[in-house]
Amino acid sequence: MGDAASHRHRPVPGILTFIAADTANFILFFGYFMVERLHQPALFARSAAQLHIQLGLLNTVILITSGWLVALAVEAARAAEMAQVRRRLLGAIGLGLCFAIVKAIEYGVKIADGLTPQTDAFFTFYYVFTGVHLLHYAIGMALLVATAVMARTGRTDTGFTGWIESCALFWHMVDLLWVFLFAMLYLQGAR
Amino acid sequence: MKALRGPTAIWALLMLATVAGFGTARAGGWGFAVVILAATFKAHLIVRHYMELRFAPPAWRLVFDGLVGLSGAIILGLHVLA
Amino acid sequence: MASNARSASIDLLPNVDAWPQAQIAPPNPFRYVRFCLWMGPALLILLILFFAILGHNLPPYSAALSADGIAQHFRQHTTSARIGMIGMMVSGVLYLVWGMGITKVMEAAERDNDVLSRLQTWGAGFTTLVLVFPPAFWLTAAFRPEADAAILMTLYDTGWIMFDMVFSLTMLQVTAFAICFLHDERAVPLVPKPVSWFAIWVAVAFMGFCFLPFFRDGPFSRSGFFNYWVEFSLFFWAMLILSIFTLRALTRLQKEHAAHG
Repeated sequence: MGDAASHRHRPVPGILTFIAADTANFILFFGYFMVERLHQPALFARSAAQLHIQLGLLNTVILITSGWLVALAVEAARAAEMAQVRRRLLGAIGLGLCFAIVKAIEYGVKIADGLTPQTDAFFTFYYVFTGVHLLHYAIGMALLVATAVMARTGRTDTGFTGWIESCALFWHMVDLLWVFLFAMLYLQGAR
Repeated sequence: MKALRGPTAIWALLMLATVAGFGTARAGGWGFAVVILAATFKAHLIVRHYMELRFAPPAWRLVFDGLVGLSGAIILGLHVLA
Repeated sequence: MASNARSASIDLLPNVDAWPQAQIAPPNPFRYVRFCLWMGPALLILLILFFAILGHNLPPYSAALSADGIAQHFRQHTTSARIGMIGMMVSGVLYLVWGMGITKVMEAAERDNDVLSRLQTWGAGFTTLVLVFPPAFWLTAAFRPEADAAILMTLYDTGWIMFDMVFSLTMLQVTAFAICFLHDERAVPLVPKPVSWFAIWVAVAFMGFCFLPFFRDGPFSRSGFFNYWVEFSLFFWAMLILSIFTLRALTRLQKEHAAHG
């Protein structure tokens, strides 16, 4: 990396507007959840204790590692090393798939235990928040797959670098939102 | 310094923070404060380094630092109130 | 248009070249476009008046209410509900007029083909249907307020489900808008990129309506905080913001057109 000084005036990708708006929307989610929790902290803690904390942790590690591979792919794209871009993206996509598998297992186990969005306020939030997050995840995966396909054709123009940077930003947002969702839904106990 | 800033170093820090936050999982009060501080630190690393906001104009940095800080503050603040 | 006028004049004036050139107005590709775009804000005001205030939809009645509770609305506010729904059905067509204004601005940014501006037109056209059909159900209920409460509730629910759950049509409109202007390669884009990204965010946020059928109560029900005050209101914010920035783009296009003759 030529580092800081040469990148000082990097133009801001427009997708940051989207990410800021979307994150603000999630902050509304966090606020609403926490305010509802004020009325019944014991119930929320009891329901949270029924979540599989290890599966949540596993998904956190998956997303963080997948985000790391995407960050490396962007570096490779800037260096115009397409073979490496492709390898790293495929790694990120492969790991990303594991996130959906873990999530499917988690939902399956919960529903089998009779825990549905109708169970209580906590599970309503749990399903809706993780569902909205899953939608973002699906969009992010589609973008990564599209990027991997584009990288295959061996193009090295600046348009591709801009594209992969924007897709990476989106994928990091999926990661960012999960960090807070995981802490708030899975790791929060009663006082 | 270069090694400390690379994506791999950030990944290691993120994993460390994940473990640190997991240590006090399902605690309330101070234990949960550790969880949220670790999460906010992780979010900060993602925003600054992976999303490369450290290269962005100050206004954008402020927006994203604000969003990350606000997320942590709202969750922790309302947790303490409960 | 211009050639029609010219051919019509041939019959009247055998010697066409004698017609003084200065008296024929040059074609104006932006004629009516500003009017069309202003129909967005106009419709916004009409919808607030007819749909929201007279229709008592600010916010709508909770889906958790009993049939009698909802029937009570049509029995108490029969006249205002009728006027509101008539107004909504009459003014809803303006959405298509507004969409056509946006199409004309988009055409100026399109380089390769007109796929996106056409999709936007269709998206706006279909959204127009969303503005005129659901009120027909509410109007039917207000038309016979003495009917069985369960029927009134069903009509009310049908109207709302039709209104909220066809969000994909508006998603199409705003997404086509956004992709078009994101590909605008002018040094200073016709529509600022953040506006396009806002439009994409609106499209994604609309997906939240998918939760509506699962809840009769709470923040994700049709009258709840997220479904009504966040997502549903985004429809109106998008109308306002798209209007402002397409009007500004139009001003610029007209100046450019005037400068280049």
